[in-house]
Amino acid sequence: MSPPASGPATIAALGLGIAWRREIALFIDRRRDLGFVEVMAEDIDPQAPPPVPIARLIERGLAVVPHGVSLSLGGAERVDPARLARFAAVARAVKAPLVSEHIAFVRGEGMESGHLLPVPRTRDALAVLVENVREAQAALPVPLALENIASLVDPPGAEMDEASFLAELLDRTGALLLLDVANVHANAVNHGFDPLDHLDRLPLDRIAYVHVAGGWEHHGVYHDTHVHPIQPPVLDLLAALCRRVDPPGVLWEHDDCFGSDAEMDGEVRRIQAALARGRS
Amino acid sequence: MNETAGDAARVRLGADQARLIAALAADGPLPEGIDPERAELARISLRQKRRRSLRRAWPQWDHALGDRADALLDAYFADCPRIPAAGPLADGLAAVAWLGDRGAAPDALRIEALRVRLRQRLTDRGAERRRGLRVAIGRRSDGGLLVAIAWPFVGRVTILGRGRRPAPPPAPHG
Repeated sequence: MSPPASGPATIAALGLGIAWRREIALFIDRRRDLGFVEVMAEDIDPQAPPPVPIARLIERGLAVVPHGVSLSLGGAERVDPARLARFAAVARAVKAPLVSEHIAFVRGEGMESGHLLPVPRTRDALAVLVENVREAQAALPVPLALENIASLVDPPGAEMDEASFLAELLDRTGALLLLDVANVHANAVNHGFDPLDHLDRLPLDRIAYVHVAGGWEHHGVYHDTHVHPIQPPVLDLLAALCRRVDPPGVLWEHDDCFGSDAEMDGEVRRIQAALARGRS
Repeated sequence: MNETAGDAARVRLGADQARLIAALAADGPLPEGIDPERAELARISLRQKRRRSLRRAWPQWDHALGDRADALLDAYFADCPRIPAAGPLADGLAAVAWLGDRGAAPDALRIEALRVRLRQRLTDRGAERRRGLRVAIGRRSDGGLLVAIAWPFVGRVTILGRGRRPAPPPAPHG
């Protein structure tokens, strides 16, 4: 069932999605325009039936995509087989059509970072990442999509730019791309590159779905907070992406300070408007 | 283990990554080539992420500690920069234990810690639900005994020995 190391996996149409959080379970449940949700893989107990709100969405035919943050695929250590087995079990428990994880590391030599850290864009790191991703793919029952992260620091010693690194990783593993347009914007601002040129150099036909999230810019640094409104340049980038390709899915990620249903609905509408703008 | 091109690469990469985590998550020295101002922003961001994750997993922290919640969390982070591999629930358990060592853990948090321990086993790979009849024992802040019993099938937890607590803890978040 795992995708071959070469040749893209079949990409399912997902539609509009929202990252599922307990605080907004009702808001998500009430919507009739969603095709999928993402759940934090680490929050799902694969031994138990899925939480009732998630089970309802599965019954209604929504796709549920487990989104991992702890595999540390970009880490120097081999991916923990037990952690992978758990991730695979979560995928089966929610009948996931695919799973996603980050191009990042979160631990090393017994220390946890607590959040996603950027992998240095070196040949060494790419070789390790490719091995780790292949091991993960072999253990997972469904295709794996890899997400580009936002970073405040750029690890030293880069031997290639982010687009080349990402394109080669996808090419060598056959993995799908979870393209986070807010993270592209973040890194374009924080590390000084042209986001449109970046898009043009990615294999956009490998996109499984797209992330859109809020953030804020302060003193010339963009912070990917997931608690602020979506910034206009991120929506512009989403529209620019949709002029180039029709992504199979687009998902809004928001983690805290949810606001009223009307405010959240407003954010979803802004995403839909950007999609329409790009597709027209 | 197979000798692959990756093995030598893993050793070099591992050293670099450990230095970066130590610098950003545990106030270690900054590796050469990283902008100090950006590193400071990344440190703050990781700290905020840890704080938010712990609070989401432990809403009782703010409830039980009120005005002191922020300062005590800062002090805990300063004393214990290493984040438990088992995640935010385990970070909260460690924070309550840290408070307990200083004689500052309110009973509401002590009881919640018992509930967390009864409800799940925290492993480095995440939380695993515990089943069957389970018992956990702890101490109230006045030294009295606390006994928590989780009953099979019904999913309820009984707490014995609450003493003269004025109010029950807020609704469980699970």
